[in-house]
Amino acid sequence: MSKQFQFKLVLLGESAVGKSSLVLRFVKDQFDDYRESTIGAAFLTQTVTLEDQTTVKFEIWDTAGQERYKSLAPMYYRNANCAVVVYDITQSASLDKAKTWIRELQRQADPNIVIALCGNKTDLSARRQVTQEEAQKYAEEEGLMWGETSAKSGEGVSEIFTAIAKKLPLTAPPPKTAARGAPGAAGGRGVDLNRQPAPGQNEPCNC
Amino acid sequence: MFKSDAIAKGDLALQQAFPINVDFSMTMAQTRHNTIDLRPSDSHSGLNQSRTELSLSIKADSESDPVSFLTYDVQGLRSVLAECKRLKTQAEERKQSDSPGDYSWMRYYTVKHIPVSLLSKIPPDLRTINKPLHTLLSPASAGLPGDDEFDINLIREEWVRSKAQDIASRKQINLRIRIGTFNVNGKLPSQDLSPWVQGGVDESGHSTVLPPLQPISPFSLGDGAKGILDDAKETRSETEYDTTSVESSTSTINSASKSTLQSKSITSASVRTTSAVSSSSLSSENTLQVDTYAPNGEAQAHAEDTKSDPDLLAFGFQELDLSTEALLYSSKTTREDAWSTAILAGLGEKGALYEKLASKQLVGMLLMIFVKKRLRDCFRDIKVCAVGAGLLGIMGNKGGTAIRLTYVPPSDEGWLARPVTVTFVDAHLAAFDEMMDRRNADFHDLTRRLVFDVAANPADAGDVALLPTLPISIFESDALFWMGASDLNYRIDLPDSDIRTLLKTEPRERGIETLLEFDQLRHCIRDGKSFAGFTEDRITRLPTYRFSSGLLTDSLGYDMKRKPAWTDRILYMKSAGTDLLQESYAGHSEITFSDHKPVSADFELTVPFVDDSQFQSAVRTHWHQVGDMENNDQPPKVKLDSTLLEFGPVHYERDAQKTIGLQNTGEIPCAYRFVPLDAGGPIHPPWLTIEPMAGLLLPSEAINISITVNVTKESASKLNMWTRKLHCTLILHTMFGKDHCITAHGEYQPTCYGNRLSDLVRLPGPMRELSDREKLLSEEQAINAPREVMRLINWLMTYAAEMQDLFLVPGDQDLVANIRECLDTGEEFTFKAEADGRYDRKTTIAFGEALLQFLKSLVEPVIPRHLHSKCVQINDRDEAFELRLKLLQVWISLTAFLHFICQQPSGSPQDSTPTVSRAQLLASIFAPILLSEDPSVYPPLSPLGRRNFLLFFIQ
Repeated sequence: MSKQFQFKLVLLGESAVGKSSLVLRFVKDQFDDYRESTIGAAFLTQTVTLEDQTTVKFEIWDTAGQERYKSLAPMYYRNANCAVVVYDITQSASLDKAKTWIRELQRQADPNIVIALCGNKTDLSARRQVTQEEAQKYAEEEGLMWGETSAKSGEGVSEIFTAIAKKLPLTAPPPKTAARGAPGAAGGRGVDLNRQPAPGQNEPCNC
Repeated sequence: MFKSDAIAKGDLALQQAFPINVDFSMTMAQTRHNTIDLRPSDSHSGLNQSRTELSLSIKADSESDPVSFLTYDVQGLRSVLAECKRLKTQAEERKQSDSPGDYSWMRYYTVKHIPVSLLSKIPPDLRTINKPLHTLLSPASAGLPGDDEFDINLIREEWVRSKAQDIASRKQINLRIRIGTFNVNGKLPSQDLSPWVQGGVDESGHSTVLPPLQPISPFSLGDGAKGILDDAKETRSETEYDTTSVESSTSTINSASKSTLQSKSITSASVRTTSAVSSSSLSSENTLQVDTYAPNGEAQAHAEDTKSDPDLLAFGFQELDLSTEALLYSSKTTREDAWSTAILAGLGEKGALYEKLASKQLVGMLLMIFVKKRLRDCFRDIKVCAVGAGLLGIMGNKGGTAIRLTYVPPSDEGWLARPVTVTFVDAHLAAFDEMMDRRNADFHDLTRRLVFDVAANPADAGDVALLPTLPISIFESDALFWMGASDLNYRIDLPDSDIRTLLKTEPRERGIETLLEFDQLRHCIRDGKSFAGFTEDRITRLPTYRFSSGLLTDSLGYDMKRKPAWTDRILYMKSAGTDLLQESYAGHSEITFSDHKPVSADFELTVPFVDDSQFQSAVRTHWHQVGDMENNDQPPKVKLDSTLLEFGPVHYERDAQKTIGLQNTGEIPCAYRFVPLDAGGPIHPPWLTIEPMAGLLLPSEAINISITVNVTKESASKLNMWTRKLHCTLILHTMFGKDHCITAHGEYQPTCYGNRLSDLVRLPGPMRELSDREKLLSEEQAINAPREVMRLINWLMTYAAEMQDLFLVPGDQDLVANIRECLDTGEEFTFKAEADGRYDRKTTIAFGEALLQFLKSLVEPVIPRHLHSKCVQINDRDEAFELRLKLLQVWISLTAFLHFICQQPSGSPQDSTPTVSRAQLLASIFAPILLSEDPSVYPPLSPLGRRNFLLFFIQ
């Protein structure tokens, strides 16, 4: 019988970098050109099945990027097993903001948290302000996972979540969160296996 | 496999599913008898016997046992087989036998059953239904959702119930209830009980009943009643009446029959009603057979059934029988009959309108229910129970008896109301002052063990499918009366001499008020030790225990050996949808034969008349809208019209309100609740309230959530010197959806109310100008008394000394707020003096009120709490003046001012209490404030001691 794991994942990053779009693409394989900005935090779940039939269920907290909600973020990243810190490759200031979030996570979150830095909006690479080299170098220095995505085209999205699933300590099931029921607005539909990268393909992450 | 739904009739409910894959197999055969017969029973009729019975066996896979079905429908079976074959072929083609498959389509066939609790006629438990909905939800906080499924269930049930009730409500049901409780100390009725059983009598003399008659007894009221006694003597060889009592009763026959007009009417009524008692009593095995007498036509003509008469009377007795053998369970009911006769007699000519509906006795405790005869058939589903709590926990000397009944008013225009359930408990708890913990334990024991057997009367329960599986608790009612509060035996925690002095010297109302603050039962309710959630009306009667006729009594008739106490009580608990108006709560000192006084209470119970069939169908309709809301692919969507609330300046004790529009913009129903930021923390700060805290919205439905800011004296003490910024974040969680954040800001306007005197003397200027606690003066630089209190005293000294009712009547709150604002800002008072330089009465009274409120708001009273125990022991003035106080100036100014106004001539002719000096009156108001009680100290210090201490300074 295949193993099942459940992890809490939090998305952080500046306003309008595409956190909610990234989640929507990952969970529902959809994209909205015009999304309202998140107020507070949204909760979704998605299950990833790895090659060895291990399933990893992500409980995803998509937080608000606006500055006025910054004080709430600790409520959402506490007890998180992994964090995806998102920046917009067309806005160099958003990487600075991402670095601030990473410092805060390293200081205040669970010491074993797996952090992934994610450059979104590769569909707009013509307007790129953050080079892959710059971001990758920073990620290496800080020991983070790194990848680029486009929530709009879907490029790299499932890859980065799958990579996180692989990186998470799958030896023992993590302690369950307070959720006693079966939270999951997205239901239990699995990831489309056809869209999973074939083994041997280049890993999108530098880890 | 489907089955017809037992509750939602006509619907099919999914019972079991068989995946059709490569392992699926089925076989068809002729009838076997070891199969499950699913045919409707009428198919067994002779006509069908000749038809071929076919059985179908299905095996999901090679390991599972086959499941078989029977049918006559050859055609139907053929199509089923064809479809199964087709699906199996498909499965074999795919060869994905291990694929888990997608069964989400099945949820359309698995609509959850309507919870039985929604349709049940048994009301929900009062202990949970009265708690705010949000307190029952699962623990959750921002980022840590609780059990959303569990929460949806609670919120949804509440929503469906209230919607259905609104729709099905036609008008109102009124039920007038009178309750009486009496510890009779083993005595038999030897006096007219009319003051008690006719209720509504206030000791202060607003009596609607004639003054007490000479000692009489129902046994003395005529040949008819006497006959009962004779009969009792004949039928029971060992009668329990002691002969002296009987003789004394009979000896008064003549005087009674010759007395007033009223006693005559009692006579006739009692004769009539005896027959009703014996024929209708439910305690059939207990009924004493008595001869019946011809109804007295004259009495009947006088008895007029008016609306104001109670529809139901419940009387609880304690210590009905003190004989030794009565300590064991006794089935003799001679005493019950004596009392029920006396009660009906006490009702006067109205007695003819009533009959006994039910009774339950446990040795000394007896509970009897009488109802209007014309409503007899409206009372149904009567259940009784009793448990002992005395010696060894099973003997009947202490304990409780209970009766539960439902009331369905006569059907109206074809509508049939859902029943109203009322439960009565008559209890007798452990005695003696120091046994409070035992009494509390007795209470909890009784609430657990007093249960009604469901099986006792299944015919009354209606739909068998809705029968509960557990015994019914006393709390599963619309209203619960614990008149058992009848001798509850809770006492007053004060020294004996304090109680007697307060009762004798104080104006009655004030003395009672003061004593009630030390009432054990009230303390227990407040601290949640017992009777949590129960309500008791204001007590205006004198303590009802213990009276004696011997020499050792005080001038009020109380036994010198026992502390007077309110041992006899009537409490109630009711559901939110039930209106219960208490019209009286009185003791009846005219009845003197017991060492307790009887107590009565009148209630008017009003509940919506909810048509049962409309309710049931409304429940189904609404359930259909929300029954499946947790099984949706899409997350709920809501929109808040604002997430930032600016309250602007926030003043002490002044409401500021904002509303937020919440709209469901999704396509599915959405349940929401507010959750705390931190697990286990508060949902909102103490200075803010949210209404409603949880709820449910249908698609496109919108509601308003109101957010109110109010800084009370408790919050003020934590804000004044510390912060001006009010800021908080509220988290609105949608079930299986987002957390929404609402931020609220306000600019707190600090006030001199709700502080410590020791901080106020360190203020460099007016309170409002203090920007930071750091700016307070050092202790050395502190002034000797706060400016604010000195300004108030100075003003009062100048303009109010002659005002006789200063501090005695409440002041206008707007004026008080105006005065407070001037104190806080340091500005001059803005009131205009009249031509003679004086101020009008309203303003003057407001200044007095402002001072009282200021003193009450202090975090530590003027006399620090650690000195109180010393203060109450001081016996002379010199000693009192030697007491070292840190902030002496405030105390001296205050007491000097009070002393000054006591010296003013009392010219007022309206002074209603000339026997009490002004100094004593002021001491009774100021002592509880200047030496305010520390609720954590138990037992509390003597209130008289506090007053005496203050009197040394002001007299």
